[in-house]
Amino acid sequence: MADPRFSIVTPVYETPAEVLRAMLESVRRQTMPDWELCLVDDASAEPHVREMLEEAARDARVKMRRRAENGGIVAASNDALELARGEFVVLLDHDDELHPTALAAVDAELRRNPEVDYLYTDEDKVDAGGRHEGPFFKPGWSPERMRTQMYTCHLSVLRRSLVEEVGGFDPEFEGSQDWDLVLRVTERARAVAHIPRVLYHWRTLETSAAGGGEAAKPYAFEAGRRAVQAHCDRTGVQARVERDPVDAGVYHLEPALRGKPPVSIVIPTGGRRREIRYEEVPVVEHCVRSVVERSTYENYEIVCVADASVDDGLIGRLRDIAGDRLQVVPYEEPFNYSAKVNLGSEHSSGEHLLQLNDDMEVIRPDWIERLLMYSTIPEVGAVGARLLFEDGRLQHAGVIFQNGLPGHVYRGFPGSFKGYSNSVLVAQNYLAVTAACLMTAREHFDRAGGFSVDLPNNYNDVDYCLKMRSLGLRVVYDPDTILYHFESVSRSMEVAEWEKELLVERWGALSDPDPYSNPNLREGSPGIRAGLHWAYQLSPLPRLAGRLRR
Amino acid sequence: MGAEGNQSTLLAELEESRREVDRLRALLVAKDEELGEARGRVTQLEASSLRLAHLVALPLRLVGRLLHVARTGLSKLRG
Repeated sequence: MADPRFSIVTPVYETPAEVLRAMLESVRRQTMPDWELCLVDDASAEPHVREMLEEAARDARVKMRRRAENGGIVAASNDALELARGEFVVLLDHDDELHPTALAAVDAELRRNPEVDYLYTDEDKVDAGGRHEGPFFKPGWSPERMRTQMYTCHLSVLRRSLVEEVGGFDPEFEGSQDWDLVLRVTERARAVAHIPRVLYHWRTLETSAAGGGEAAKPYAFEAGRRAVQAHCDRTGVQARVERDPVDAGVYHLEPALRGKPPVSIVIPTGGRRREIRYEEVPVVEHCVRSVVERSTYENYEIVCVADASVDDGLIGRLRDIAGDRLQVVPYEEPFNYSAKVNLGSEHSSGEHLLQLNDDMEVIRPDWIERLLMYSTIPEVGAVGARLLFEDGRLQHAGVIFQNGLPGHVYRGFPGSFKGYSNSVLVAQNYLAVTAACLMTAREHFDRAGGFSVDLPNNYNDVDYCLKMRSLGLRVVYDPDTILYHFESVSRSMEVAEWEKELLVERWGALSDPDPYSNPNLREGSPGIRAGLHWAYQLSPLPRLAGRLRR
Repeated sequence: MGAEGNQSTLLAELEESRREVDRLRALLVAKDEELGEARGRVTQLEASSLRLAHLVALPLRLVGRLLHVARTGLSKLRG
């Protein structure tokens, strides 16, 4: 008999009869028949488990092994992998369910893109009574998010040859063995795909991580931290991984830089004044003071690109604050933000360039180290920060595109807002971040030809980030680099029509649809389409449609 | 001596009023942050209300679209 397309790998241990039946039934009801189910009973004491598995194994597509003694989920999963002969391994927990069209949809996506070595789908939760809740509509493949949250989770499908190449599940990461495996496979994967459809139903039992959270499996969260740390160590990411003290599934990378590369902070300024905390000040003076007084990083210079309107008195005060670190480059042309950034970069010498608006204030002292932690990753083209308005509201937590046009996700939301599925709290790849605070390696800046001077006012940062994307580089939002941005909340966000048209014409093919959003999300939150999609997925219609297609 | 005394009294008053200004500013900033949290919640609620409003309007839009399709079909049939 030919090897099947999919091997569904399921370790089983003391599964309640009802949910075990539902899991087995969800596999049997697959509209795509080219699968095998590899079940390994991890020495369950409950007699119904053996009976039900033996009954299931009457189907020739079901392989079953019983372990002589309980070995834990990693040992049982590796035993199940030994049984697998399929081209792809599908991970299914013993108390969860597959959507009837799950394998058909996965198969179609894999045929569309034969280079895919890892694929994941959206998921929801289902309680013991069969009620569905909490659909998770995920972004496209985001390696940076994967280091701070195991967001791909279920359904995960991996090319079996690659799973074998990396040695299967590692017992060192028991409880987070799937996160570790996905990290090791994706380090070598040629391509990763995401299907934005709810094709997996994760059971919320008191004993499962979905239902019981950290209390159910406290060891799993620490194993997750170690798995990400091991990944960082393997891939050269200069970071120490820590767990969030409040949100169990959220992790933070803390910089552990091995060197101190020179950084050039480029600040274009017109020397304007505005009220900050009820005191009128020249914003650039306030900004430079906060950089000098709060930053812990030492190897940096500040290059102020100053309009003719900046008076000598202000320049003198900047010199008093920053001393030898400061270089002032006069700019005498008509206003062009891109040209000012490019001029400042030409006059700087750092290996990494940090574009900074003049109306910023540093909050976290290790902000430069944090940005460097990401900017030193060779595949990262630009890094942005979490920015707050003066009153603490969110000003920037990444840029998302709707119909090819960009906008700041959750702009004006409370500073305490965590975002949909904690997206404000975790690192994430976006198509773009704001240049109000943006670090980029000089090498990438030069390759891209700097900022585009044909966009003097708006979208020059978005354009730059999309250039990075077109060079095959990623753009990162770091939630833990936090600064104030004293942009007026009421500032007009008006953009000229020609700017919109230019952006869509130049980058529409890359940005519409936004790969880091999800068709079911609108402005970062589930929209109407999400509800309709979910209702459709839970109805018999997808299965009927699958039958009709066959 | 009298002038010096006056000057030091003035300086002390000036310092006192500076401290008071700083204290009031700090109070205002704290209030602004509280207001910011509340304003942010309003923005968040407005965004979700907008989504709900779209949802409420959806059946009407669907009916409108169906009517449009029916009318177009009928007019085509009529030639």
